[in-house]
Amino acid sequence: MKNQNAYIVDAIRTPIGRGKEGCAFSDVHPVDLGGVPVKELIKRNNLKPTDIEDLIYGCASPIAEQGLNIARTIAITALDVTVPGVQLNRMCGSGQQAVHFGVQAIMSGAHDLVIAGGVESMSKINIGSDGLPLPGKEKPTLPQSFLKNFKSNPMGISGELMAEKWKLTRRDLDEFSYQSHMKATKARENGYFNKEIISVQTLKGLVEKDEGIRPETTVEKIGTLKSAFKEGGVITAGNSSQISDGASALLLASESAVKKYNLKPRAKFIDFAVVGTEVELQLTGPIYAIPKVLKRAGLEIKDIDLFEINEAFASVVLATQIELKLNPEKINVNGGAIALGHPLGASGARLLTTLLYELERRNLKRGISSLCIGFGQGIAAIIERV
Amino acid sequence: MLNEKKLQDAYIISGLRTALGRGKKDGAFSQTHPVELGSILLKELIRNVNVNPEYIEDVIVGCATPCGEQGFNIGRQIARKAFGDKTPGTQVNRLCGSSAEAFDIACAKVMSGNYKLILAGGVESMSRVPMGSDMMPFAGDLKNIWKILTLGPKVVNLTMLEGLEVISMGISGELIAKKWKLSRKELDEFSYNSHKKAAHATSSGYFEKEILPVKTPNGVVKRDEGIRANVSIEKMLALKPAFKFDGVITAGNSSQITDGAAGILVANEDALKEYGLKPRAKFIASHVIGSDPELQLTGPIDVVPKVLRKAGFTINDIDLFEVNEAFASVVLATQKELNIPNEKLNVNGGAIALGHPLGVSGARLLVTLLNELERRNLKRGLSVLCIGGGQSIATIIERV
Repeated sequence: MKNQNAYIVDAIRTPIGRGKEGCAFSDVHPVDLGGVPVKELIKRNNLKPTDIEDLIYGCASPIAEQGLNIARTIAITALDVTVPGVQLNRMCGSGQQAVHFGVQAIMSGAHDLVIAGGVESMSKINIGSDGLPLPGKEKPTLPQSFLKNFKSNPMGISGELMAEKWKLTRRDLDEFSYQSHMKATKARENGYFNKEIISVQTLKGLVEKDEGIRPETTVEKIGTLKSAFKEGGVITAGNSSQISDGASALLLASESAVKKYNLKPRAKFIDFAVVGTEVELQLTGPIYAIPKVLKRAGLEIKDIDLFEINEAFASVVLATQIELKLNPEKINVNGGAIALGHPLGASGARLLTTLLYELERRNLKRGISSLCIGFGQGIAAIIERV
Repeated sequence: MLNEKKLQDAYIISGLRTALGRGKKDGAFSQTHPVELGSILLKELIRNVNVNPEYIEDVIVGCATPCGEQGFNIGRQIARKAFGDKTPGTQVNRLCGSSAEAFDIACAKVMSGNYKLILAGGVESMSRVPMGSDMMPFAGDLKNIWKILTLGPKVVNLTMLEGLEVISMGISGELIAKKWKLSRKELDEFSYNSHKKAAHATSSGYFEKEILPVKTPNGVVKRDEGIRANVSIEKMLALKPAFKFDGVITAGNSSQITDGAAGILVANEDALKEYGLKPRAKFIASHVIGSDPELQLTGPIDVVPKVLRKAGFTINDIDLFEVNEAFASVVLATQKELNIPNEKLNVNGGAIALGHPLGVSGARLLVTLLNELERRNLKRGLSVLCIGGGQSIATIIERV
């Protein structure tokens, strides 16, 4: 028996809100926010909620409002009580990992129709709060032997180390970040995002557009920001990804589900890879994951039409670009997390969504989506339009 | 390219668990960090079968309370601690079905040919990270516990709660007892037998093959701590109802709060050939469903027929069943509905005697199932768990 093909039938995302109090989604519960793309996928593909066999959702801080297996709470509220749900955490790679799990379930024949994606409300649940001591257990009580030879840097310090290693100047990083805002501005103005975004009704009104893009920014303005992680460093809030709220989801189907529900596949999965990497530099994952996935697929860099590489820090994308000799014109063509924002558990699905729509808009064939991941991991996938 | 690959079978190469410690302050593993516990187990698991750690392509760890010491993607933390920086890892949460889910994911991954060799498992330290901590407000906000659930709509636009009755598991256990007309006596007898079966299995050494002794600050832990060999039905009947004053569910006929870890090494045909591995069992089918969130724990009744149909089997084709003993009422209701013979059901006891480390139990059940199939020289087993909030997951394996 041959592997089943796994198709992307549809993909959608919410606008990305700034992850702060008083911003677009700060009064929207993450369960509600995560349900928005799920409901829309059902509606516009003429499916019944009960047609979905599993809801697989990434979330990088799975506690408090995002706790208690948020995938299942979204399944109950956005779909039906008979739809199961599973939450997973591969940190910044969670949203894409959810899609990988869905695709593998389809390829192996376990499922025919699933929704996979991610959600993160950073305005409510701060990054890292899942690792905080529990209430009443503020002081560590253990001889934490596991902490020995278990060093890890704050992400920003790793961003600095990467800038240093790949000899990236402050100007290089700021220039890149300026371009991210400009590309995102242009994409927004020209309506390139219109198809991939579903507007969200909140208590404050309708949110239709990404909130983080700064059309009026300049390299000079970005250049005035103070370094955020070390004295004399090059990483600033301006050349790092933004703290964000958002959700994104993909409808994945097997060949038989495509027939059964009369769906139109838009792309298929060619291959994917995850890697563990050195934890000091921490964010070099794409440098290893992209060649790995290409090798697995028997493809080369030149066979890829567009790349989405998550802009955790400008230094991450630039180092990846230098190391893999990527053509800058193919990378993050509509901007990235520096302009749009980086809702941790949602970004992987958001990148795949943006990649799919842009491949379609440009009538190109094949794209790679890749993310670096805290504590040294990387993830990459190749999709191809059908 | 992936879609040109042949669909492969998924095999269990090895399964191992820690002893289960009581999830209390002075429990066996209460001084052991969950990352430490998980990594000791997984490291030894692959050493036992002479697998080079570099061959492990991913580590998928079920954990139902992924915060505090179990936060920060504990899958990766365990992978790093056990095998080094180059081994990736991810955490999954399907509550009580988390590590059954981890196993199913691992099987799907290797079947699709995208991976060859994956470690799946679970870890939970309920003594250190109590159940439900992931729903709490943050540290320092203790007095506002459950505010998120109860006062949510006032703070945020929370449609979530409208369709989502949040019921304690115990109350669902009571509802199930009522619906299936299970008396206190029946529940206690079932629970008494769970302890007796587990005590017999322990004294006969049946668990020795599946338990890895673990050195802790409290000494070497090699036996399940929750089993009460000297329990009597009278003692059980003396316990007070735990969830409602006139109820039948007590601490004695419910699963225990527990610490532990379990792991399963999963390979496809390519890996068997390439690494010279000897499979012990084959993955046949799995299924997961959502179910009524009010009764909450009746999922096994619906999911078992579905997974059997998927595999082309009937109840009679299954030699042994492991049905997670979240509450005695859950297992008895399932047994009644599906006509599972007593002598095939949780033959070495279950979570009432051994304990129920939430994120671990799925893998623990599979490890115990495989071990017992081998001991009795039987072929096919089915494990199933009910899941809080109304879900259920079932898996069929077959010895090869």
